[in-house]
Amino acid sequence: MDWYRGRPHHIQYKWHEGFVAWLLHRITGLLLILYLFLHEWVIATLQNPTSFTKAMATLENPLFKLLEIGLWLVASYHAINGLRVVLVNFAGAAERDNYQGNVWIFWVIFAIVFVAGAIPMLLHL
Amino acid sequence: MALNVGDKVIFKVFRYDPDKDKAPYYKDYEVTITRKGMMVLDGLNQIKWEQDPSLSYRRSCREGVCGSDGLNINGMNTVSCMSHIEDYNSDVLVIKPLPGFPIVKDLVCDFDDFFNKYYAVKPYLIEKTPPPARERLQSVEDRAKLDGLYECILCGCCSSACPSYWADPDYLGPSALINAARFVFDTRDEGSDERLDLVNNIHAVWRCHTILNCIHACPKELNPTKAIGMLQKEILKRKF
Repeated sequence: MDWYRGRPHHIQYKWHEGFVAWLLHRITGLLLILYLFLHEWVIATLQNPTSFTKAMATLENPLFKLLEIGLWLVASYHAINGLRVVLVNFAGAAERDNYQGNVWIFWVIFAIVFVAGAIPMLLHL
Repeated sequence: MALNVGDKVIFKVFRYDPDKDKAPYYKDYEVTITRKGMMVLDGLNQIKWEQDPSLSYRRSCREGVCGSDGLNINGMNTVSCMSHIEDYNSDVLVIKPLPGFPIVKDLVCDFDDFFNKYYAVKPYLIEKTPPPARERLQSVEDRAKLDGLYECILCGCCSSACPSYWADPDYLGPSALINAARFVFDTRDEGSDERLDLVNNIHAVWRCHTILNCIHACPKELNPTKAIGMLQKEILKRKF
């Protein structure tokens, strides 16, 4: 009966632009850490010319090229949203009248940067 | 949605009495609009006075000054005395206590931790020089710098909306930090160095992840995120 006493009863809040931007920032951050470990692991296996050629042959597969675009998606979002956070803290990008609109501006910038980088990658699939 | 006199709105109210209930539950009440421009607090009063006296909630001044009645209404934190029922454009209002705070009963939360964090930032004038013969004067321009900082009513809406505040039990939270900023940027105050030392750690200004929920929540239309940014900038400015 007493299990609930003193505990926070709910931790929910209405979703809005700033919260979604932060959530994506967290997720992309975790994915980047995961990628970093995978990356180190692959590099650690390249001990001689044979293993190098073998690994490179696998990585030439179009699936990995697509995953590379995914990496670009994650990295460009994390980088550009990181710049937004710096501007919020140090350049007043979170005034009351525009704090949600600013997130949209950054999402548009992110979309442009991502697409501009992804097109050449897709062409060389 | 315009509400007319005689219309009914359902209040879905969070109920929990730790002495009686095993777990919290929601109870529906029908609130009748008795006049134009009814606030959510008026609806709660109607329930308490006419339907169910066992409902508990805090209230005092009913005009957005005392900060007693911070609640989570349809997912958003606000003080119920400053929110019109019809502004929610909904037949059903889900009324919960502030998120992330421990519950005392029904809509009443435990504010001990919140106020301890407020006192931790020394929210009072610190003087080092002897006081002048008359009062400590301040220019109109310097006084204007405090606009948007001093109006905080300590309703808890911002801290309670903050995911960093939920996740880190030691985080001072947006409310304590905007009150720290209110004194740091006051030209009459002489304790800003010690106050900045207090907030210059991972459980204070550097815990803010700019999720912006505090701006979204503040019923007095203040900007705690901006105040935290000002403190961060001030800390860096004094260091370098």
